[in-house]
Amino acid sequence: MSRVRSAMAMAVIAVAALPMGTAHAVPQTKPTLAEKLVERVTLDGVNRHLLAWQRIADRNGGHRADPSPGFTKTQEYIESTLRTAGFEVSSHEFTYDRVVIDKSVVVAGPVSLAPNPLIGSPDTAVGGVTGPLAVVPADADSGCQATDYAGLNTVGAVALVKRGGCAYTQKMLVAEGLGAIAVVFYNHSVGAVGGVVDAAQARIPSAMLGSADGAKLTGSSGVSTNVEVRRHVEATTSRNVIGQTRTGRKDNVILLGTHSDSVTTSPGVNDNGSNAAATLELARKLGGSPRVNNAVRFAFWGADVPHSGAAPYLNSLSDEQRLDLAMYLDVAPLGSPNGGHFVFDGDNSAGQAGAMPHGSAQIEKTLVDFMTSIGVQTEPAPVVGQGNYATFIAAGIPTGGPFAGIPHIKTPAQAAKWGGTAGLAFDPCNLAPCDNLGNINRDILSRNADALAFVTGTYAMSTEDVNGIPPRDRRAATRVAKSLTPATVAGENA
Amino acid sequence: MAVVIAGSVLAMAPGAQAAPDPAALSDRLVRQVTADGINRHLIALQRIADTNGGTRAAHTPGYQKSLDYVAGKLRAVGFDVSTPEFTYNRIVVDAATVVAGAVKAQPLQMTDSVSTPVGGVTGPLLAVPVDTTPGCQIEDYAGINATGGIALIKRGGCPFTQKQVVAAQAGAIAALIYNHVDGPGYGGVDPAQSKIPTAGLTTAEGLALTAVAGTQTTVDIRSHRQMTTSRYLVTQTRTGRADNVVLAGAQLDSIPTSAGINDTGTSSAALLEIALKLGPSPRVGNAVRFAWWGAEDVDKTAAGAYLRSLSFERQLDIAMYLNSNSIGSKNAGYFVYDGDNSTGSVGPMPYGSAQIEQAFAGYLGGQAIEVEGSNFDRQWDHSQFIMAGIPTGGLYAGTFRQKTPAQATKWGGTAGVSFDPCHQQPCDNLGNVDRAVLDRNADALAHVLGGYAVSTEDVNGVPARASRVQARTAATQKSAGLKATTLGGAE
Repeated sequence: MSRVRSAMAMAVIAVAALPMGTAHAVPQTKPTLAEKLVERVTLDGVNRHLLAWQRIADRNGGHRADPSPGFTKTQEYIESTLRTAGFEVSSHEFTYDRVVIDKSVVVAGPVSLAPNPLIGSPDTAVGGVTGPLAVVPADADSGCQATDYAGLNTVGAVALVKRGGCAYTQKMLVAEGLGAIAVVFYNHSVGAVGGVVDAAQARIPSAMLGSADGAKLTGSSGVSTNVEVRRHVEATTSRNVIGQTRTGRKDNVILLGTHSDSVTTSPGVNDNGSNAAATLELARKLGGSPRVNNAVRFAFWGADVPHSGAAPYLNSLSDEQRLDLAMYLDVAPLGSPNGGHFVFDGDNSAGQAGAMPHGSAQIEKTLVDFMTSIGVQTEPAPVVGQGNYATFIAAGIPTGGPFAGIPHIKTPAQAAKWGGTAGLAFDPCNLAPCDNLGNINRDILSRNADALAFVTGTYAMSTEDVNGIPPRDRRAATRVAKSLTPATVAGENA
Repeated sequence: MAVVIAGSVLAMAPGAQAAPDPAALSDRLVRQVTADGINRHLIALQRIADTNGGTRAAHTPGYQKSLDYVAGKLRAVGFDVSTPEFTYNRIVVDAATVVAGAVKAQPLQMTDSVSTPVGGVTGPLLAVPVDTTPGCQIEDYAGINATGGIALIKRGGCPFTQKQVVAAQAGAIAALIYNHVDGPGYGGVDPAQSKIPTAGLTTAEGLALTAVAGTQTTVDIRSHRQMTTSRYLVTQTRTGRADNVVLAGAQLDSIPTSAGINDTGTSSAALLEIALKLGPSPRVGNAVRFAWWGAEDVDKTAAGAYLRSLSFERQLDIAMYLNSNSIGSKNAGYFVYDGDNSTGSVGPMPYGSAQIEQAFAGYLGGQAIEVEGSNFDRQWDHSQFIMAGIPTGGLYAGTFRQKTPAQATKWGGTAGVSFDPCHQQPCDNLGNVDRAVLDRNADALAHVLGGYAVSTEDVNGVPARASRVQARTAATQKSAGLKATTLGGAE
């Protein structure tokens, strides 16, 4: 009844308030929480947190890596912002094995470079391995097949291979099969340097250089080259910062998670600054005690993949506590300078995400519908390495979220759709010192932050499409309907 | 409907936005801030020094009068002015004499050097041979019996700290370092490595003493620190965002032996004239805050005290810090703080500093002036802001360093002479200002300040007000479009 009445009242107001004489005037209704959050989460508010990340990095050695004073300050800022907004804030400590690089060099004659060892690749002994450099001719899939090495002396050699065309593991196996003793990869574009090889198959050391450093070696075919890569692990304590609304069902919680750290070589303003800033601003605008049906929990993970605090957090929860999580919204970098609008592929339509927990497809649809409503075309997000979401997906928790793209190269079709430059990575400064305040596309960030606000506001009111739990007013109506006998109904009517 | 809106949202590329022209305010300020207006403030500062013992040092009535003058001018045009107290550890000189027979000198004890006992130390005067690195290596003392002697060393080639460490190693009981350029021998040593009492002398004093090398010489240099209370001054426009403030500051006090008209009068006077012409309620996007600091060059500056009084959030409200220092030097250069660390000598700078440097260099470049990056001293006021991660930039016309022939070709003036030959001397008076240089630098400051008062987008991504209005409109359209497409479907 009341819903009908208020809708009618609204319709009257709408007519009065719309003097423009629009032929197809939009009927005005009381804005939903999702709509209110979209309005309240402003670029200006998000940008202020980006300023905080930049400033914290600038006064703490240029980065906010975990562990470091810059990361501690970042967490303190998040905690104080959440507390000021009225959230219940807690801290979840965990320990992980941090990889510390003892030495990582490639020396070819006078050229000495510092590559990034690939995760999963074996270390060398002290002194490293030395052999002639075998420069694999560069093409779109250099070193993916043994034939790429035609004419090269590969036995006992250090293979220099350009990135692209197939997995690092495959390139490493091809090189090893030809007798190479180490592989040095170099990037195919400006930007992030690093990768993962399958530890179970990796038997020769591998490390990666940036594209500029790679170019310093491509003319050194046959030059005796030393590769030394040594690391050790150190048990390190970190913590996740968790803030939850005081309102809403605690057994049907919307969990948002984001990283908030940088690497040691970067202030990390886009990665992970933009996602942490958008999440924090959303929390601030939602407030600690909103009128919501479902509690909203914000998690700012410590450490980073592959040691992310997400997995230890999930492991610390009982089965019942996991069941209390209605969904996991994973917030990845949202403001990439050459970015786009990706949505996590909940229905596995691109065939890369694998089987997804039920409800993920619905989360994807909510995000895609929002983007469509503001005229933005989306694409299913590329599955990148070992993101946080993998942990939640493995636990059967419906998962989704927006993403602006990071390491992949923008295609001409994507540039036509989203603007930006084709042939360039979505974030050419990823993990680099230039991932600073200038490394943000604020239009893209604004739209992605709006999408995050919309999906959060929507599910804070009802997760019915995801897990069948209806909003509070519908539950109340159902209860009333069940308790009323025909007689009392008749009596009340009388 | 949604499709139409979508088109307009996507057309909001940054370049397509019709932002207001920051040049309008900049141009007005550049036009209204005149050499004449600034000069009147310099006259006032000179007069204040002349009637207060020749100085405007932070612990003296001359400084209080300087502060009152600035506050009075600001209040007269409607600014709310606050003058918070701060304490600093002032150096009080107890003795400063060198007596070598008939030759006497007035040494300046190096900051953080140990003092002599009362009555001083006495020993033979040792003239350390002059080369390109005098007294920098122990070999420089070869053939000299330095034990118990007073080492007389020419400046240059290595830090003061190193010279006195080497002298102490050779057995000397005090070190006198005389200048290689005009002007007094100001300097400091690393307190952790201060081995023997060390003082600076002028070139003339050094040469006079060299002539009497071997004479039994008494060096009496003593000082102590005294906690002293002073004030600084802060004011802010009533208009503009209070959470994205452009802060511009200048040092106001002089040294105890000078009226300090170029250093610090020129920057203080230019800033005051800019504030007066901007007014307390200009049409700006961002609030502008002005500060006049006291007690620079000591270990607890007013700027440091001010920053420590602000929480991280209140510091975050400061979009940038614009500093200027000695901007009317007689033999001037045109230096801009090296925000992009292109000289490699300032270390990493907060993000946005490079953009500020570019704004200054761009304006002066438009006046056909080629600037150089200033490798400024981290002890100055602005270093406090840099350490706090606040984007920082500013102007400097040079003081104690010598102008090179290349700089003289580029900027005019005299090569081989200090940029300010009266730097930190009694002659830093009204006659020690190049008013054309001062006018140009004041214009540059007015231009840059005016531009950032409208938009700091290049420094921190906060756009001008009009583009924010456009962004809000777009957001409203967006949610209207949202209603059109999603609400109907939900029912």
